[in-house]
Amino acid sequence: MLLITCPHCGPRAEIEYRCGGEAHVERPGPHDQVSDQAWADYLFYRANPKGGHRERWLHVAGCGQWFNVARDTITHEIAAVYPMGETLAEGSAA
Amino acid sequence: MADSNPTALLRRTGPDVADIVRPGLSVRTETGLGIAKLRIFGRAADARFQEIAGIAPPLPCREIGSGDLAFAWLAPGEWLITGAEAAVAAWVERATALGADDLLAIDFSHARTAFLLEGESARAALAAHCPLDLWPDAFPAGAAARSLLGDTGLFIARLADTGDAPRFRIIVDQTMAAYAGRLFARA
Ligand SMILES: [Zn+2]
Repeated sequence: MLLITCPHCGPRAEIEYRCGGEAHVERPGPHDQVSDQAWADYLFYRANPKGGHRERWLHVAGCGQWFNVARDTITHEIAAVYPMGETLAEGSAA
Repeated sequence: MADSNPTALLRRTGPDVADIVRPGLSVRTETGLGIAKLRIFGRAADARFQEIAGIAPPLPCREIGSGDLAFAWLAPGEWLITGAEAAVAAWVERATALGADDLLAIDFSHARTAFLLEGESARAALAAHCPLDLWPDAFPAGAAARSLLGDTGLFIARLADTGDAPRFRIIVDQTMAAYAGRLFARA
């Protein structure tokens, strides 16, 4: 089980959380000018990397807040936890 | 409370969970506890809390007492208020009377069931079903959190110890009270 540090509650067990998938997926727009290809990319296609990944997590059983996690998908090591709306500089985490 | 109190009447329809008393552990339903939630919207929620409650808000993951009431941090801008039913109801009424549109105070005593767990085995009984670290370094008296209890959610606060044994208040959905009782009966 992962021990994930919620930015509000501190370290808590993985079962208190829900993973919201890849972070920083931006909705293309304006919507009437978006190609089917770009819209399909936005809705369905994700990077799914082997290694460093940025994910959104929700502390559903705790404070109910969303935040971002930089996690290695091979080792599960969590390199950083940072707020929604922020990005992580390249190279600053796995 | 008088019989006309609607909260007290609603609570009477709730499940009857037998108390558990055995060496090292007691689990008792806490009757007459008022339970309310305060939500404040906006970035300056803590300052707004102080204006409304007249005290500084509890730190994250902590519960503080003020007069007859206890205020526990649940999330940024969200607090749980517990105390005697009448005192909680009066507090909620006063907050609502402010007529402010950036806050919501709601009494949901009748939707929850509270238990008091105490004894030297209380931590072990909880640890069987709750993933929180309840050892004193991580969860001292005055700590409070929302987490899981088996398949349901719970609020837990560590109260002042009785002698050498820890004492916890847990609050679950009223519909899950019988389930929680069964978990502790087997823990
Ligand atoms: Zn949290």
